[in-house]
Amino acid sequence: MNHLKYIFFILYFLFSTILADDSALLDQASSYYKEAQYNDALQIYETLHTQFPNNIDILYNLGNAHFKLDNNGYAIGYYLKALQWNPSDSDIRYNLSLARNLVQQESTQASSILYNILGWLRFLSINVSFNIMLCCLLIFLTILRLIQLKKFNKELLTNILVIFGLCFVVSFSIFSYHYAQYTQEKGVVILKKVAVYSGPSETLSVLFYIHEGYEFIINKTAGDWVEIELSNGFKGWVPVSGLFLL
Amino acid sequence: MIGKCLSFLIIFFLTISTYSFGNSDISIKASVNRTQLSINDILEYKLIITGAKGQPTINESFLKDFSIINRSTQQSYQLINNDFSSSQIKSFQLRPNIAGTIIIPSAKVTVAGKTFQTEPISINVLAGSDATNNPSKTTAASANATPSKIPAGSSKDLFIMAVLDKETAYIGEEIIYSIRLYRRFSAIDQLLYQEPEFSMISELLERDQKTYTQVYQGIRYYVQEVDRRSLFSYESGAITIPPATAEVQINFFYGSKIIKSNDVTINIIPLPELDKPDNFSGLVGDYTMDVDVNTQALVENKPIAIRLSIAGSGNIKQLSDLSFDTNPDIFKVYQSSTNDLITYINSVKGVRHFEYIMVPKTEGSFSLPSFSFSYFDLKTKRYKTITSPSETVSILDSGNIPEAIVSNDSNKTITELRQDLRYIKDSIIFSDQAKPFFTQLSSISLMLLNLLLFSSVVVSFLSQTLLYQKLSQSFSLKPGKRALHALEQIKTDDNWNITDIQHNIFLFLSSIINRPAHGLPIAEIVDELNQKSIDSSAITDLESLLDQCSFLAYSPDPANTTSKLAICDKAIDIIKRIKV
Repeated sequence: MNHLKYIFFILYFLFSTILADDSALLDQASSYYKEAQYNDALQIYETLHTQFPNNIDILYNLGNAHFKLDNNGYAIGYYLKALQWNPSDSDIRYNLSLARNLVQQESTQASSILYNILGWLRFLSINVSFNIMLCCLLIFLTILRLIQLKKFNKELLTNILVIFGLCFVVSFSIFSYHYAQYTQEKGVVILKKVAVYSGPSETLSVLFYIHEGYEFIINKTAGDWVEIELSNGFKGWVPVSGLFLL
Repeated sequence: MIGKCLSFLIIFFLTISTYSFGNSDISIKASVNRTQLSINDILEYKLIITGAKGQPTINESFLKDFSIINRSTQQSYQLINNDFSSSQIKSFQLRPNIAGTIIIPSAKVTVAGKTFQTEPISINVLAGSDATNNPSKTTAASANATPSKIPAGSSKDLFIMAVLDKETAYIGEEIIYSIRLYRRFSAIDQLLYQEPEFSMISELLERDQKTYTQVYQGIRYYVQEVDRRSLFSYESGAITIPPATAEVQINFFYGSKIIKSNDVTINIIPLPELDKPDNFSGLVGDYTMDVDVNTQALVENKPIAIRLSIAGSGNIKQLSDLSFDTNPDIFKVYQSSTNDLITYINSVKGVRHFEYIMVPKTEGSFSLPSFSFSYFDLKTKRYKTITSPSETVSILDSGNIPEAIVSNDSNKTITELRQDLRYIKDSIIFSDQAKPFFTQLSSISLMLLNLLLFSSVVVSFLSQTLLYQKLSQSFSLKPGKRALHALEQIKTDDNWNITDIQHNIFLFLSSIINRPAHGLPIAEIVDELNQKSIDSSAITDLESLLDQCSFLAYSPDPANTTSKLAICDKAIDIIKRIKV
């Protein structure tokens, strides 16, 4: 028993030491940011990002540091990455809109019918929509079980069952939409100007140019090239080096 | 009647005009388009002959100091106050052969046997630059010159001829290349043309669709243009364009012929290094710039578009970007789009529109970023840089935007002074990592709960089906064994009741008679057992046991432990005997 206690203390000490180091780094980055030394702050945030790749706050701070360094493409990319996990965060949404305003936004906004009609869907993450769907299913099954047990008013239970059956169908549709978004590969242009070719080679003809901050979806990958599609339907190939992939 | 009057009027008119012409005064006047030029320039010399009745004859020997590049004649008639006059303009395009002050002597023009003279004209010819570094034959004169030889291997009746508009050109200068078909046949059935391989950039021009006649080496030919294009070379040296090939289907009798043109060579000379601007991108020709920008109400961080149009003739596509001079703390500039409006008729001409997005970064009064480009001017043989005009504009602080721009709401008491990023997160829980839904504890718990509920619903549903009942029967213990097991349990149980024994016996009997035995008269049960060929002694014992149980069940004195054990043993014995 005593041995276990020692092991616990050692583990606790190690864990708290590591976290303390990271907190110190974070404080250092914050002070750099306050003093407008954005490059130094950015380096620290990138170090933290490699350790905690899915931490939303670090993604947000990375976006801010890039924004201040006029790397608007990177800033938009990190904000979008953070927003993917927490779409209801108003700070991320606000900063993202500022970054988008500073770049050319001709074809970045999605314009599907579902997206326009159910605008509030943007505020739900895939995790939340999945849990809502499961809750609806749970209530539906519970009521179904109660009906089987014949312990309550059957008519009332049947009405509630229908309501939650519909809720489940709707929540399932919403989850399907979010899942489609989640599995779709996306990216942002990080260079000032990128030529879009008709195929994965610079020897092929240039179809059009896209600029820093353009958002797109990725259809195919061939080596160091990806086929991108803009929201207006334009398609073409670009080298990965000029892109930030989400 | 009207026709007669009209005829009379025409005769009268011609008579009068002949009379007038015959009596008009003849005057001759000479003029030049300029009096100062370089030795490589072209001088236009005009002789205006007014009032001549016949065809004037000009002795051209007075132009011995010049090479005559081209001659042309224009004739015009005028009727002023019933006074007819005619004039002829003889134009000569001349290139001086010598530098210095040249006096063009009097031109001697003979009209109707009379000789008239013009006044001498003095011009100044400058020596100009070195001939090796100057395309000496970049002139219109050689533009349509026809080579003096028919291409080798071609017949005199049918051949194609390649022509360049110049023999020497600068790098990037437009060279017009054309292929003409010379034929003595008035018509041909088909022409299949194969262009040569150009080792330079080629832009197809609109070819002359007309067929005309031309006398070449004493023979009259039908001439038609087959190909016309602009060429731009970006390598210096002598460049030879190989022959073009054409297959001509003449007609049914003559069949088809494959003919080749002559090859043509052009000498490409490099552009001078002297005074070459840093932003020179190889543009050669003649260009202008037009700027379109709305400088009203510039607001900090609010992007505006500036549109610059570069118009001109030459290799305009060579200009991929304009250079701009800006302080990024005041204006950030992004290239937005490039559009072309280029025509390919006689040469490559057009406009290239550049659009840039400028984002004012700070408030105050500043000059707009200046955009510029450089090109080599073929007329002056010098580099020229065109810069957009510098315009001072006022950038409003985003917090001081006039109300008309910010909002029309007069009741608004709080106005956002400027927009900036929301601040960074400085207290981060590092362990708080975003996870996909299928790895989250809450989602997994919900999934398990759903699975359990779903299973229970399904099992409950299935249990009500006939199939389930049959299956459960087949998997459960046999009735005899079950009854024996239950009775053995009753024996060990202190809290027992006589009805428990009865219940188990009836359950067993139900399985024998294949219907519920509970509630049936004992006599009926006995009858059915007899029909099943069961030992009669066992049936008799069963009958007495059931009677005993019925008696004990209604007895005021509860059965004691001894009777319980005896009844249980008796029931077990009977069940074993019936089962066997």
